[in-house]
Amino acid sequence: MITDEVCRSVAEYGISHGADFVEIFGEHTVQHGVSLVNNETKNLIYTEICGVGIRVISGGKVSYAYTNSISEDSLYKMIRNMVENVFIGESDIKYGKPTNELCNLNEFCELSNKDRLNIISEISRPMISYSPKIRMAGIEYFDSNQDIVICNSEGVLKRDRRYRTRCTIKSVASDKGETHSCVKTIGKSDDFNYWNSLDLNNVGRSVAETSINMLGANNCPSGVFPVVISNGFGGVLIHEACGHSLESNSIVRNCSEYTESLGNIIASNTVTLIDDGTINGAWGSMKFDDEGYDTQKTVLIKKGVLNSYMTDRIGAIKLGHHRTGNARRENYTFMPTSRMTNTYIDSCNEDESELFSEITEGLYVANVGGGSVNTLSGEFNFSVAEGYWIKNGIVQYPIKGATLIGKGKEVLMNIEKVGKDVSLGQGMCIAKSGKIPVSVGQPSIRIKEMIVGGIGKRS
Amino acid sequence: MQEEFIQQFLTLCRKKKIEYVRILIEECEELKFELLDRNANNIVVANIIGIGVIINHLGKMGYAYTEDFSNPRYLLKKVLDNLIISKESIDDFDGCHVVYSQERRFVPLIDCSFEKKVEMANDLSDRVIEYSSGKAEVLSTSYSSKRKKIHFIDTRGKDIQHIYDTGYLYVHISYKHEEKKYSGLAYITCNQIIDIDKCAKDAITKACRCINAISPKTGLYNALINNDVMAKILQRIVPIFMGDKIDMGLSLIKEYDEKIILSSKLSIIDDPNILNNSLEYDEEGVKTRKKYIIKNGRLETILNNKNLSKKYKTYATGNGFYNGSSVGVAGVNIYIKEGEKSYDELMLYSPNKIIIYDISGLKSGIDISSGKFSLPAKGIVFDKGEIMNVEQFTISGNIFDLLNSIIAIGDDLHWGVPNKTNYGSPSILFSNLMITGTK
Repeated sequence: MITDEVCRSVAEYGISHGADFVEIFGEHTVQHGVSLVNNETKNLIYTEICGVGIRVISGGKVSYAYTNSISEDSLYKMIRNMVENVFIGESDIKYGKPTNELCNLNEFCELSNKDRLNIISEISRPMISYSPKIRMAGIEYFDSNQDIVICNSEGVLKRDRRYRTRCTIKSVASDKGETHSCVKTIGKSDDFNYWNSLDLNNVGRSVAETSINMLGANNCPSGVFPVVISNGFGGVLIHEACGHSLESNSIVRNCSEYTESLGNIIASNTVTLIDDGTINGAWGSMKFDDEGYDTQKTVLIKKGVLNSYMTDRIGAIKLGHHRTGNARRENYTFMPTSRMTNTYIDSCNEDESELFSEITEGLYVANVGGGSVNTLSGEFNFSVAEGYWIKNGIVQYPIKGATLIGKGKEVLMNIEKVGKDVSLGQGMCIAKSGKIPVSVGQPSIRIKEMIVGGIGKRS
Repeated sequence: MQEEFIQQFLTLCRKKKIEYVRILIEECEELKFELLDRNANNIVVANIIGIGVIINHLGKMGYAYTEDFSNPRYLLKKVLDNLIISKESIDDFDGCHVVYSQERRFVPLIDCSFEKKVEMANDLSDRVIEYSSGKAEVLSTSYSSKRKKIHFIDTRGKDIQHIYDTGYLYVHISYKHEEKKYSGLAYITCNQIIDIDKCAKDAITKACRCINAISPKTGLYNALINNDVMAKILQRIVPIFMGDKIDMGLSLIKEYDEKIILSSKLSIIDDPNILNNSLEYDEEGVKTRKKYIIKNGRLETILNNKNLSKKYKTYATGNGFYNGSSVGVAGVNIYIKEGEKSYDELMLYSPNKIIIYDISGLKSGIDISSGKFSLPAKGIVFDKGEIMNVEQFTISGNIFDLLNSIIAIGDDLHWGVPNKTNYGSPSILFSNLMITGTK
């Protein structure tokens, strides 16, 4: 790992040769992965990522170079090339005052491959034995120990150790020519002890159970219906519908439907949306972001009114907005940009049962799949992994093949009831600065109407 | 530095009496930039090297990857920790002596100067403004390319080198019409002829297609799916025909020798000898060859690697490629064979139809284990002489049903964004595709 002295002297070299700002991001990450399919080990993975990324800003022009040749000579050569090639001119960027902080590294609980296999076997066993209709029970385990150093020409020098662990559990059930798959992901910014706190048998069994239950599901009817979305990972809706559009990277580029909308009503007054990178142990949490700025709890939407964007350094400066500690990157091969951390709709007062009342016919989304969004138009989509049909206020039977599509602005205004059972789900978000861990979350919510895609007929 | 590290690692392996060692040296060069005030900005330049090691020891296989070349002893410890507790082992490269270096080809989009790349990006931005008569705003114009050199050596003197190129020039625009903004994006890939004019016009056309778009009526439509959209769909459905997915129960095909019959008009081919990434050997040293996955509607080949071919007593198809941790299965250049009809002729087949020119949600919207798909799309409806731009709808059904309902295939083969595997398709006209809108 690059030393403090080298970090400082590379930054100083850049500044003394005309750069306005220099930032060094050093990383040494160790990742382990294990996958199990039908109780048979398929892969044991060991990956060591090690390198340095240097960002230079000069005259408003940004350049970034990265390498895993991290000798002092090599880094000097790199910074020399960068300052020689950037356009040296007047900068319109005004940087803040220097800060200097060195975080303590946490001790973490290291585990062996045997420990890892024990965890996933405990999840897998009840899946296989749940029913002969389970065609495939697959578990992918992953843990990562990322040591980072962030140093910049304003005097920031911070080190951190980020430990993350995660399992993706997939069950494929088949019967009479019909097949259904169910996927669940659980994870935490924590060490091995996290797994001791879970009932792993129950985790595996519930995934198998869902895939079996969905086998007899009817095809989802299509049309416009009221939709109730369950808590936790259901929050991917808000992640896609407006989260990406509130990242300063979209706003600065004029690629967001919420440009120049601070203070405007953009959602129903039931909606308070929060991004909080400080939640202890949450999947998207960090002490400080990937520019070394402390993470924080940011109220993005307060009772329907747009209150804040999520910013990185450049976004904050260009927008004249405060920094929110949302600069993120997958690893040293990416330049940081504004991204979400743990983003969720805050709880309200409705009991879950209240959400279903008055619905003559509608969709209950118990579990959602992935989705995507066009931040300019606000169009988003996501698939329904586990859904049930609601009739006369009661959840009646499982449905399959449903997709929800809509426009962010419309769906935000249509959130008419918000429950109090807020929880977070864990996902991986892929965007400009790579694949990063994020939490999505919400209490159960009711949306007045949404377009539901499916191939079934209304009964 | 990495040469010394490799030699030290091999020496340690010899001392431990490890039967077989294969080293994978992966070198990646990257260049990216975006335009700002006609100059390159957010420039990313990189060159990194990573080393993967694969060993066979006591009948088991172990794998590890590192970018830190300071401690070969620790890497060996980790790869020994990772010896799979299963029957899997890795085979020697095929043939008595494989030494193969891929022929380097000139790729115009990548092998030109930095200044030329910036000039092309500016040209693209200028033409968008010109062709839209100033109604379009360029949100971003960016260039990205990656050249990956993969080099395998093993303890039996075998040596294979591959080069993979991926690169594109991309423009994202916002088109203003009656106070509303519509976005459009288009790109030129390193597999295509550089046609700046066409790319600029494509971006504008895509944005304009969204003007006054409405949600269509729900129902069954004859659907003409454009070639670029079909290439994306093909990429998501090809794993159905991959041996590793079938073996793990993740494919719609349940048995390795299942008889599948689709539309007789359909042929899907993997041809390793076209485009920029022509390969003579796969990453297990098996000679590659052109093969039909589907030929005239019948399943002809399941793509596999050496382990799978042994398990299912068949031949290795030359599709063993590293997936980051072990030898998985992948194609090289997979495409749907062109038909004889021009796009205009496909348009004439059916007066009432929908053209699908954009889809999204591919990652979660197609389930290859059940074959079900439900994808948000954008298109144009032709209904009794009326033409409407449509959005806010999904296309849905079952993949095999879709591939059984082909009316005609176009002659306009198009390759998607290049990667280690390239995917291509012509435009295809389907019957009775389920469209779900709001009406």
